[in-house]
Amino acid sequence: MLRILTSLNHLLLLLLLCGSLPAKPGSPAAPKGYEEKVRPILQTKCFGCHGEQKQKGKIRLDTLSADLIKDVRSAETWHDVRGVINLGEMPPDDEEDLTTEERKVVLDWLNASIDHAHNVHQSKGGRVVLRRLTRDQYQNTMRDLLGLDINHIQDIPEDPMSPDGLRNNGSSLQMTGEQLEHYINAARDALDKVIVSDPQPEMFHHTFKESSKVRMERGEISGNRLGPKVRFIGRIKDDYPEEGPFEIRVKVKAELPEKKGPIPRLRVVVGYRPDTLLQEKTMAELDITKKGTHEYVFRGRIENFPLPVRGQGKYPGLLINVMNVANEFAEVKTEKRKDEKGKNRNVRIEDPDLAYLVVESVEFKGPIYESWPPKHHQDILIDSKEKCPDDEAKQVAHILRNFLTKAWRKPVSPTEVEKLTSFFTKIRPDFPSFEEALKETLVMVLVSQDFLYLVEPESQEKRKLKSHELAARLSYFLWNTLPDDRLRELAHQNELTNPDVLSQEVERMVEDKRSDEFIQTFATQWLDVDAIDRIEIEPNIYGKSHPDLKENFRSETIHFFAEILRNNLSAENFIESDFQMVNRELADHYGIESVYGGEFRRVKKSAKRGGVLTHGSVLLGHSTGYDSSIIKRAVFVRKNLLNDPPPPPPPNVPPLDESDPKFSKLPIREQLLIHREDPACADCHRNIDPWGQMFEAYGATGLIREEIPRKHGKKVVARHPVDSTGKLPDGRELKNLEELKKYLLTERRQQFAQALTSRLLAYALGRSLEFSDEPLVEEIAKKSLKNDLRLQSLVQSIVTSEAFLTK
Amino acid sequence: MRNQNIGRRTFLRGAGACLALPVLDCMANGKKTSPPPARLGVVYFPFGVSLPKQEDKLDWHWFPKGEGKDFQFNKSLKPLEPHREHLTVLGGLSHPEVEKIGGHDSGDTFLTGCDILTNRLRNVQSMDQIVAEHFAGQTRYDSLVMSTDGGVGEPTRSSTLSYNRHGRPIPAVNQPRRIYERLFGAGDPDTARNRRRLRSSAHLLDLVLEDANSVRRKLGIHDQQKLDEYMDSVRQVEKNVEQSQAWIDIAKPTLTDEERERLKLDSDHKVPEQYIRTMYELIHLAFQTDSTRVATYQIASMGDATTLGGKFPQLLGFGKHLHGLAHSWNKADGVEPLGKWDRFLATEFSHFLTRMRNTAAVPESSDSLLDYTTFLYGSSNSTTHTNRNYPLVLAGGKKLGFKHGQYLKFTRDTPFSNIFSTQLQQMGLKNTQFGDSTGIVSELI
Repeated sequence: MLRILTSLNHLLLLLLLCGSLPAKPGSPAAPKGYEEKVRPILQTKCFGCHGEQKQKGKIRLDTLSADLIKDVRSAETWHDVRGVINLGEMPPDDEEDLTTEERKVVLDWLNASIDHAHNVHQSKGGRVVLRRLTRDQYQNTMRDLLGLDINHIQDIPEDPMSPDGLRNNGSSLQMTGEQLEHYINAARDALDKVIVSDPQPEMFHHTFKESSKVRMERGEISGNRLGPKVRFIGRIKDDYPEEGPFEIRVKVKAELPEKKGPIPRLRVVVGYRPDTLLQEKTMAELDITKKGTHEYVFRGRIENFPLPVRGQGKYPGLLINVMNVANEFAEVKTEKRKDEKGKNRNVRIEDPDLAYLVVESVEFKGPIYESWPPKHHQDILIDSKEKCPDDEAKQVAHILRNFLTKAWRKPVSPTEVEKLTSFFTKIRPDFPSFEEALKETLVMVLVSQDFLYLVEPESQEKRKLKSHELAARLSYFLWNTLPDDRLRELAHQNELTNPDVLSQEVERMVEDKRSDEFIQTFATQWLDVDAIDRIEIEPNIYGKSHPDLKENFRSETIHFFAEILRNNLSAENFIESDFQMVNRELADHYGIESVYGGEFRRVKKSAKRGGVLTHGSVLLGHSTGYDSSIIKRAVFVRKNLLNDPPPPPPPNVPPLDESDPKFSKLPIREQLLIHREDPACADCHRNIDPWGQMFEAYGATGLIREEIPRKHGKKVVARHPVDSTGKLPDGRELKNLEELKKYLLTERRQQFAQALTSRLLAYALGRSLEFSDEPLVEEIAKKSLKNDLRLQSLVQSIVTSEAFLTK
Repeated sequence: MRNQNIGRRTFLRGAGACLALPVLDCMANGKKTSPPPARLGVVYFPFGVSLPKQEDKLDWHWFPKGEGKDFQFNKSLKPLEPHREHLTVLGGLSHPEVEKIGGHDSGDTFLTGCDILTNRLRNVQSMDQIVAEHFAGQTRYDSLVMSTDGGVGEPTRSSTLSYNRHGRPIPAVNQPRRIYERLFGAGDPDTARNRRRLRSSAHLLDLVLEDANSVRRKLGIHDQQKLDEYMDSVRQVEKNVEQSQAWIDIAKPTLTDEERERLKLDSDHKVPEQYIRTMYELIHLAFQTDSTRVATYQIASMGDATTLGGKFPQLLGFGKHLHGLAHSWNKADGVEPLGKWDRFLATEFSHFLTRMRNTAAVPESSDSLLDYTTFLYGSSNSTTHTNRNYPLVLAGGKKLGFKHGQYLKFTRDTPFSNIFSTQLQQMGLKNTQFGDSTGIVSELI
């Protein structure tokens, strides 16, 4: 069976238990046509057994209210009715069946009515619901609040996805005991590192001029001159730290060609086993574009890297690896030469197409603390000891007043400080030192609802946000972390609610590096970039693909979004652009020449590219891994770009009889045609398939193809020329993706603008949009269309909208 | 299998663990008189199995030929042959309520039987968690909830099988290393500090709850519902803390080198065979060391567009993406690839059953761990999208009174929940009513 539609996260459901709520203002009217169209069908086909005379199964339909909102019990019955019609259980075998047309009329009305009732009942009154910090937000908040850049979320489970494909939806984000326990442990672990009571640890310092000799595999060698599959390794046998910040300085000479050409890429890797990728981790990567010898400095925290087990014999010592990965997977060129004994041996020779790096020295220093106790310790304890000598309770109160404002992202009351101080006093006798009891008190702060949730209280009625609440909404929207000092200060001065100030802040925040968090999170969720992780590229068809291909696809889309946002370009670029974002590897994949280096940069688009629809992330993510997927790509356009997701398949639709061995030879579009002959499938698929047909010139790996191979088992049994034509439901015939893009930018321009606005607004608010939000979406989209759909301006409009500024 | 040797070492180590337990039946009631504890395991896979109709393909039919004691495995379940006396294949079962919802919406309901769409996407407590509550406190962990995707997924595309007493999904763990750390890791080596912290946790949680209560009053109704979730969680942690205090002085069980070698703790969704096997090994070790009595593992979720398990068949060389593969169940060239996937899953399951049979239930016992474990294996789709006639295997538990070595075909009068009721009864629970169950399946006991 061919229907691959079930990925749709459509939740058609009824809220029967909550009782009936009055329809919200702004809700569209319930679907019409029951009396005129639906009832007559039921009259002839159903009322005979479920009417005045008989009530088989105790079901009576003729008196059943068609108002699903007012009459909750009827809604329940209608829901069951839909179930049995979908299942084909009713009418029963010995009665006359519904015709295809009748079935469609009844189901259309039922679907729309049930949908409508669902939306009315599901409504949160257009209000933001108390939001737990997402996994990423928790990580960033802990890092920024405590000044400790380690993994705080290793035990925290993945966040659920809301029906709109976003992971920051307050209603979806849940809490369980297990999860809360992880928060407690994460807070304890972090504070153990942040607040110290031991003397300053010894710093280790090593300098390497020659590569250490280490057992290596995978055809690698060690040395100072870095070409493909050569590493410079500094081995630190015992004298390395297991905790704290460290620094690696690499002094290298770059040998660059005279003209524009290949450039080396420096990679620093820390770990302990060069023969398995699992036990080492990349610390940094950098294109080296400066000629001559220079020193490059990299910093990190050692606990973020795999550390050797002390005392083990097989792989002793910490390894600092320095590599040149400009052409990481290039063949190593060799030549047969005679050695001293006259034996023929393969000797590596230099590759003129590569640029080389020569390591002069590698230095390791760690742990590096510029002061002791370290800054993160001092930032929490501040001047408490001097301010209130000999009074621990007062010290704690002083510390809390400072810490709570940041951690809870709000002004704190004396009562709150007092409560926590008395907690400290209560547990103090049980703890050996002030610091230990203080840490435990701060754990309390970090598992409180004021830390784990974005709390916006006093909100029985709709009201304007307070300035500190606005600061938090803003920073979690654009940075995915807590407000910085400046935002907090502006909130404190009550200036943030001033529209000019707010607008300037948005500009500042977008420019700031921290907005990478927003770009990555939103772009990934809106364009479902993670889809590529769920697809395996089929090597039998596409050959062995580059190990970093998926990562490069991911980066392409994220850099593309960043380019548009930071330069305030038009969102039209998502559909069609005159540029692409590539690095050297991706340029190789797409067949673009003269791009050197690992960094992504903007280049003129190549033929048949432009916009996200030609991105590898979209094309591979919405493929089957061995071929394109017309359906997945169609759904992508309708759901992600036009906010018009097709309905999910009804339950238990019988599969086609596909035992015909000739079937698998047919092109997918012909298979789909056969599929569409089945009336149970036809209605939906007529409106889905054409949207995906225009992508047929792009294979699973995003490359342009002339013919489509069809496989039977492992053998290719047929090749069909690419046919990218399609007839959209509105009758428009399009020849290829170019035309589809044009069509989207003209005929569907407004729909696209509204779809993007909706998704962005839902993300900014952390809630699903409702009917009552429609006027706002239309207004923002309209304003944005007048302004060329500029993306940053759209973000500005959202931030200054009523919905964003109120609770 | 060098049963004797492994057994011996297992006994010794097991004995240590047993001595240390605070209240274990075998200690409380004197030696050898009380039986070893019962365990419950569940493994789930999505999208259904190969059920070909073509005459020449019938040997890839998941369900066996024949019926009752007289049945023959087809290719898909052939790997289970060595264990046929320890298992029953169940045919014709489903959750009647769940038939109303989409076939692919049924993953959430495998252990709950709840029509979640009518129920506002709220689920009910899953069967495994009822058992976990029954045994609460007797082991270090009440249950071990695992899935390949981890977390909870989203409603109708759940990535966990287990739901707590409030019907909320319990986040599944998916990294073998983290699971290992939880079960066997040293934890906080400073027990004095650990004990201190547990004591302060009680105060801390009190205060958190008090604070939340005062905030709650100031919130709107939807916010209040969210905060209630948080407060329920705090109460649950309070209970866990109490429980942990009883366990703090007891060292976690240690593993032998051989056992550790078997665990591929760094494996993940990119290496399905290693990964699934390791997950099974972890269940086995958790049961063997009596670290928990209840374990669930979802091999992949019904989220075609979201599950990391979707690419397993491709990585294993069976061709297609899992959902696509499942859709080809009735295609001429689709039967065998799907059947091979079915067989792969059965092979891993069989491997696990072997391990369970080669381990003593408790030290010196001649009964195996499997004899005291009731293990459910299967899916909530027969063929893809069809949530009837679930493919199911019930294994183990001979000493819990289960009768096996049969293929039972049920009519639509028997809801799947009757199996749950039977399991609950045999595990010693008083209340065996579950959801829409109508009784006990007498053929199984």
